[in-house]
Amino acid sequence: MATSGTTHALDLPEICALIAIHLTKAELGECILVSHQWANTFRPLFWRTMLVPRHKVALCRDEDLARHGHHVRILAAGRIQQSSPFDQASVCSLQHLEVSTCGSNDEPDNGLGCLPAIVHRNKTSLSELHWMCFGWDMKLNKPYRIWPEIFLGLERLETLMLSKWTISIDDFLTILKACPSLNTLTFEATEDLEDLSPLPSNSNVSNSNSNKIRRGSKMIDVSAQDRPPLFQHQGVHTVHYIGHAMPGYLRHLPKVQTLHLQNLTHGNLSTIPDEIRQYCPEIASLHILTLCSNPSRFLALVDSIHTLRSFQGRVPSEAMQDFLEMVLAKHAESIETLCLTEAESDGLRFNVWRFLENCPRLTDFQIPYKLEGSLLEASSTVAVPTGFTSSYFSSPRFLRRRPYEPTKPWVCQDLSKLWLRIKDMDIQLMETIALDLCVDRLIPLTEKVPKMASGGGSSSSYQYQQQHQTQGRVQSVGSLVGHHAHHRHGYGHGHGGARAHSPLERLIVEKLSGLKKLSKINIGSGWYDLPEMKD
Amino acid sequence: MPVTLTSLDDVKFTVDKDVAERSILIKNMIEDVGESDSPIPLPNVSSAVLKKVIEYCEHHRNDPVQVQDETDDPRKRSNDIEEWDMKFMAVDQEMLFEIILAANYLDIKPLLDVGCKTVANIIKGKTPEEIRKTFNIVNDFTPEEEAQIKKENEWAEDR
Repeated sequence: MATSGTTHALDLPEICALIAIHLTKAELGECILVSHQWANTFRPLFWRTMLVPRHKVALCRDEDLARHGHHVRILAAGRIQQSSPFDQASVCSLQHLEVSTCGSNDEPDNGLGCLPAIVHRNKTSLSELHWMCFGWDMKLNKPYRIWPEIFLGLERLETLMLSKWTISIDDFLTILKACPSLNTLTFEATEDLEDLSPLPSNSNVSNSNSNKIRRGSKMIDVSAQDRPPLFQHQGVHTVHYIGHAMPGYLRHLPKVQTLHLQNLTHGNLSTIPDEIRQYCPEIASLHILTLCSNPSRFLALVDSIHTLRSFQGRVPSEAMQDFLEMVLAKHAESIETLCLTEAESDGLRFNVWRFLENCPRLTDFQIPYKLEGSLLEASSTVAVPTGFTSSYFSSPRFLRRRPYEPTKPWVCQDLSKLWLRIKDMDIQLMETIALDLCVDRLIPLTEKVPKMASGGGSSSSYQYQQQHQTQGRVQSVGSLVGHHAHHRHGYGHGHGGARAHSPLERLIVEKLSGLKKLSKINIGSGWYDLPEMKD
Repeated sequence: MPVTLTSLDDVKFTVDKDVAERSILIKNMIEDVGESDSPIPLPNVSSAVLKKVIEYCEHHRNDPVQVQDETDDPRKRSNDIEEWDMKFMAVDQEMLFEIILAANYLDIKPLLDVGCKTVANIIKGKTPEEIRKTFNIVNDFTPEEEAQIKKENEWAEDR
């Protein structure tokens, strides 16, 4: 491929690797067939990733792997049993391995087959392992117990995912001690063997000096000197619990920064808040994708976080009000991401603007609820007729709307992603706001005209679209604006878009256009990508 | 603040500093040398190629600097090459590979990515014979070797 002594781009392996990233496996296969030199270049890239579905494992040919196995870095090997085509000397440089085994109490190797041999062969390079167990241990009445010795020597292991295992505290400690480089742990449908949680206390503050632990069905007194010193792994920073939480193990992971909880059975948070409060002060990110059976435990969980930077997920509707107040009260200075997933909460009366006024680090704010666009307060002028108690007249029906007035300027200058759905806002107006923001971005500062008052802005935006035809990428937005403006012109003034904007609506546009870093917005009519602000 | 770049064939190009600094190599050289008027020599890049590279950097001078993320999978990024970039890359094969080499040497990641994506798009959908025709390559496989490779490729493809 090289011409007369000079280097050709395709001679450089790093460039071929960059090209190969965009090619499918089949296309890489075609490249190998081009010539010997192309085969040598692209073959490592072809063999780099092997994702073998279970039904195809039988087709894997030993001789091919003997020849090319040393290129494999990422392997999904299906189910490992007594033998596997991947159990051979050439497959020794794996970085990423996904396997499953069938648990067994009867087999001498406990169903592990040749997996220990494979793992051992790759122990110096392995950085990610996903291991699932099939089967149910009838004796334990739990998933099969893990075999932690397999982790010995896995010094480079950073990411570990275990599915459908039972892990005792000793097993867990063996794993932690064997793998000093661990930083991400995922436990899916995995259970602890003993229940080591302290006695549940009635108050929200955990009783951290409990001297009793539960073993089986008995309470055992453990005095301070009997308890072994607490081994703590200094590297793990992310923990996922899927299906089942094992709070007691968090005490060994003091450096955890991110906690994911997903699909917990019965929505049971158990003693997670207590463990966090005592052992995990660095948790700053929460992803909660689970139902919560107990809203007060949910609030206790949020309350146990020292400095919250990111919250994504589901908030139980009964806890929503308190949750938002708590975040504002405790974490206004630190919160950067607040993304709440869809939920029914029409009754929510929370002034969400307070987040924009009080949270300087907010960059991603998504609350897809139907919110009242204005504050509601008890009307003091409604006279209470005799015979009725005044509480009846404070109920929602009698609260009077007071338009939102900014008490403070919006401080979230770094806000880049925003999703609010504001009740009672005209759909067309929502679109107009989004499009007006786009236009606002396209116009250089020197050419801006005064802000639109009522509906008149559409004609100016159409003119500017004409002037900026040559702008490559943004042309599509400009033409969309032009089309929209043209469309509205066609309907004349009778249509909704031409009505005077309410103070709230004007305020929203003004405030939003002040957010220079805003790049994605959804105020009820879909996501819009905003072009970058022109200087 | 203008910066002068000298190509392999001794042609001088004067560009604005922010344009030149789209190349991380040049950016580091400027930082090391400090404020100086002396031109920066680029002995690996011919003037024709350097001209194209400068054209790219000037058009993209205001792009946000890409944050290096090891977990960033380029396939997950937008697969569309911008219209302007596509027109820019519509050059003969020799120039295309020269631009890629230059982008690699000068450490201009976005240009390198676009170049590699362009080559990938050329390769996509072609049989080995068509690829050979495109890049002027001689088939040096025996029929037995070809059959062997085809067998290997068969089971190793993606699920």
